[in-house]
Amino acid sequence: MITDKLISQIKDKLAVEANYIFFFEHLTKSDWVGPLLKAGFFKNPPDPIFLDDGGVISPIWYESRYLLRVADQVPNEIMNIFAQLPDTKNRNVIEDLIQILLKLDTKKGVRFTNKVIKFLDVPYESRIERFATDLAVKFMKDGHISPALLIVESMLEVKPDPKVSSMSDEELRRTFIQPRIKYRPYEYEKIIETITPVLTSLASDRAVILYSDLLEKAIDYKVIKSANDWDDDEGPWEDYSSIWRPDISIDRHIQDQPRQGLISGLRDSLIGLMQSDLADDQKLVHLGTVVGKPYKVFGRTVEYVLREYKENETFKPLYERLYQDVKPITDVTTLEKDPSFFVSEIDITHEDLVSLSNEQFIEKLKTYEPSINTPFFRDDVADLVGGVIKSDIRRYIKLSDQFSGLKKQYIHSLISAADEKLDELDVSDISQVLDLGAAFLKLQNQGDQYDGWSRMALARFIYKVTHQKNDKSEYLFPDHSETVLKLILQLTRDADPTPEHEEQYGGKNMDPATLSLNTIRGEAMHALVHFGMWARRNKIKEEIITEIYKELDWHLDSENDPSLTIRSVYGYELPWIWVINKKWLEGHVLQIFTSDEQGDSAWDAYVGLNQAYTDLLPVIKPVIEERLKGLVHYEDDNKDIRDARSQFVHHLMIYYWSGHLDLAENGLVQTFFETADIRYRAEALHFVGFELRKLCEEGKQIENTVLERLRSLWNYRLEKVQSSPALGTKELEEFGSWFASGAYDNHWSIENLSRVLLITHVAEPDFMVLERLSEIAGEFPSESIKCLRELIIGARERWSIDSWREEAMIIIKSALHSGNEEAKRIGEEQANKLVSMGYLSFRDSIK
Amino acid sequence: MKMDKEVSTIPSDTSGLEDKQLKVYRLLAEKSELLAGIYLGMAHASLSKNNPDYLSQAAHSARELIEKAPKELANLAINFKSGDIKEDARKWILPWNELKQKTQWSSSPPWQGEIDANLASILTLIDDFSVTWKVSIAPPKDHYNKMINHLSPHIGALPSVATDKFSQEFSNLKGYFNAVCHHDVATTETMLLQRIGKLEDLLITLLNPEPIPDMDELELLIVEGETA
Repeated sequence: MITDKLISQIKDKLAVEANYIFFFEHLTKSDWVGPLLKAGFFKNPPDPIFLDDGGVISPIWYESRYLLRVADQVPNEIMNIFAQLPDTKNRNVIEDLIQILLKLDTKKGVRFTNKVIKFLDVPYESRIERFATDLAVKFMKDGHISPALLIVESMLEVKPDPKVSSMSDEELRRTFIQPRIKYRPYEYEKIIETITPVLTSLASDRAVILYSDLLEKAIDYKVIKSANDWDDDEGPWEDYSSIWRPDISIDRHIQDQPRQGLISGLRDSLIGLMQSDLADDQKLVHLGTVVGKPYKVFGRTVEYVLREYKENETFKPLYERLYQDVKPITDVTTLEKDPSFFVSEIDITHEDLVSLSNEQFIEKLKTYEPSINTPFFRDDVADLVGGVIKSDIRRYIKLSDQFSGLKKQYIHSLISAADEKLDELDVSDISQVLDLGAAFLKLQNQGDQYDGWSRMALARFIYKVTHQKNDKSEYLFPDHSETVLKLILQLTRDADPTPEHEEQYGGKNMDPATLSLNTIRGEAMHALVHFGMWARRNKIKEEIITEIYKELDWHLDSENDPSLTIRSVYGYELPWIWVINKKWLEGHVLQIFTSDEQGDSAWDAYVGLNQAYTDLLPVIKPVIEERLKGLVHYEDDNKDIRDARSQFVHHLMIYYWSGHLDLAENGLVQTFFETADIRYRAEALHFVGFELRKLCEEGKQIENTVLERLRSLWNYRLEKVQSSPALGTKELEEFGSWFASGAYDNHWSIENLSRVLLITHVAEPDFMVLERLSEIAGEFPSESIKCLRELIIGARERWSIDSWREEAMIIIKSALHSGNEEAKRIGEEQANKLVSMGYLSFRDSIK
Repeated sequence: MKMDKEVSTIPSDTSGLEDKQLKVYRLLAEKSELLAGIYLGMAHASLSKNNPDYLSQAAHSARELIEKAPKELANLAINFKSGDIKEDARKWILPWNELKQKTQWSSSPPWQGEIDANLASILTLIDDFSVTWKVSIAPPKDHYNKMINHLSPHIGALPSVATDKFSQEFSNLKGYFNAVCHHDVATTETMLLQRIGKLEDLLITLLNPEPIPDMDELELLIVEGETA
């Protein structure tokens, strides 16, 4: 029995949030409603909390959750509570309240229509509209159309773009304006889809009025001219709906276009109207009202609906008039074309071109002019020709000597097609493409886009043919060496990338190495290096190799080539340059990795795009020593998407792991840890931990010497950070992955984890740490529960605890059942702590 | 600022503290060095029986602890208005009385005239007054409610109806300690220690709740309520 004393005893406990939640979640009967109301509950829903970052938190109101559960048991008491509630903008509360109305008798619920409409003005994301839609449907089905329509009108309200009021006509003409709706387009259309069938079946005439009024506003607020300017005599406005809604029958879902959903709503309502029991003359009146609206789309929609009734004497005159006015497109093929995009009309086809003889084909390309000669159409023709060439590559390559006299876009089409179909070509085909390239390069560079594209295609083609085939045979013959070298040397002096190009497309937009693959000179420099590899493999005479190094020397001089893009190629291709000529690299390595932006671009490309080759270490050691200075300060300038600095750190750790570097005083590894920013130091330990874990997961054996070497590294860092806390503790957090890897014995692992957690309270990744901790909790109950205690203290985000609830439960239970009094006490404390944080399920761990 | 510096120099002498006191001290120290120092001062004062004024001095520390708790534990910046509330009230009460004499308002309520310039100036003064003194004249209970909410895992989830009773106890204790430290009421060591014990319980509930036993009790209370 619920007495005042009982309520008072309960209130004694409720200042702890977990207890408050527990209490309201565990009430099963409605008997509590009255006494709790008397005690002050059910009166003050929590307000939303507005955060500095613009976010909004709507606290759950556990009291309304309880009311929702018992609403149908005590409807009158609930109604009284509802009537007394202050207005709220808490979306969680509003959702509960509307759901309560859904459970109440509609006769009672409709009294709160105005309250529901106010709820709809909550300006932030919620599911309110879904429940309100359900409520409107319920009201309608129970015969309360008017209150339902008030709710629907409010949900589908269309307002003008607020920009409009403050802008001049001139400004508006240059601005994209958009009517405003309360919900996202998908949700808005979902409301229409749900409401329309019900409303149409019950009151199609009112549905027609609703949608035609809303649609008029939606178009009014989309066009710049005010509807007031409309003159009856001019007839309906051209709203271009035949472009944005060519087919009235097909629903279109376009972002921020309430008019699309509203047209569908109007169409379906009109269909419902025509199928309803209303007298034909009444239907005609409604149709006339719609047609009288000031935009063409209304007439188009009515015309579409009346197609079924065009033989009916009542509707025939209206239909025929509309047919004349709107001139509907009824041909399906035409409708399928999207008139909002311009489609080129090339008057030749693939089949036409393929069917031509070789002579006719060349003649056609010489003489063909598209009817509209804009760059778009030229592209289309070039694409068409490229497709034809690819369909029979070897046939058309044999005509390549005639291509040099054709428009440049066709030269581009042929070289690109040859690149794509390289594996179908034999050596004579390749020779012909190279000859076409040579002929093309002799032509005057007119600087148009096809000049550039064709040069780029040629550079790519050459880069590709310098590689070996999958079966290790070569694309090129030794006889090709001079031709190819000549072509490469022409392309490596191309102006692209110009400084302006680098300025526009480089920097934060694209790193130099990526840019090198997308510029002619860059691509040609890659080809140059790989041509050198080809020459070595094929024992080509030394004079050719010498020319390659002359060219590399030339571009290395920043007076000749100040481009970051080109310097990045040296870093990118460093291992291959080393393979071709070790001595040259030894003599030039400091010149490649200079202490300036060019040197940086080469270094970033080297560490970012290459493995840590141990053979290269002796050559680049002095560079590493210098480059360690770049890790003293953390940089996050998004310059390189592959994060070259982190890759550099990984290289160092790989060299250490493999024993090529050690922990010697003033050695590279120690210098790194003594000088680098904490985030790079943490990255180093993180990388090692993840590699350990990866190998263990793959079941690979890690040599003891490696494990001992890494253990020395860890001991060194732990000791260092413990003795100098000012160094920061973030790198210790990374022990989490070492622990989780399982590479080391449990005793050492948990002992070190405990040490770390006492300092950091965090070990990353926490969920992996908890996973392993739960696995060894039976063996180490006391140590494990202490680690859990520290991890709970350090949990940075609420959801992080969510991700390891099961593991925490195992660890707590292990502690409680361990027979160790201290472990048991800490286990109980942690269970209570987690429950107090809202994880009520941990109550079960103690039971 | 000055206070913080002084507190940080106080030696954290926890010798002589019982387990419960040590627990409260540590919980406070995790959140606020200042409050932990005040608490330690209170504990030592209550044990200094050679000091003839030890009860009021311990009560003084207890009152300070309660007063500073919202700011220290929940970072609630409560800017109490300094100055004289009566002085500020006079600014609008006097012209208001003059205005009343010049209108028909008092003779024929409810008055329904337009808001003219005279009335508008008075209304502005009243508005200023209410905004200025709103925080200062709010019941201390409101501050404690906010503090409890702030220390809870979900901000805003605990309504005042759930925390009122707790806050009232906090408020009552403050009243008692305030009276004792000003020697306004007679007290005994037993009474004082009992109140200090209550304060410690509240602090533990606030800073380190143990809801599982509470839930067991709540479960029984729910069963009791739902049984005819």
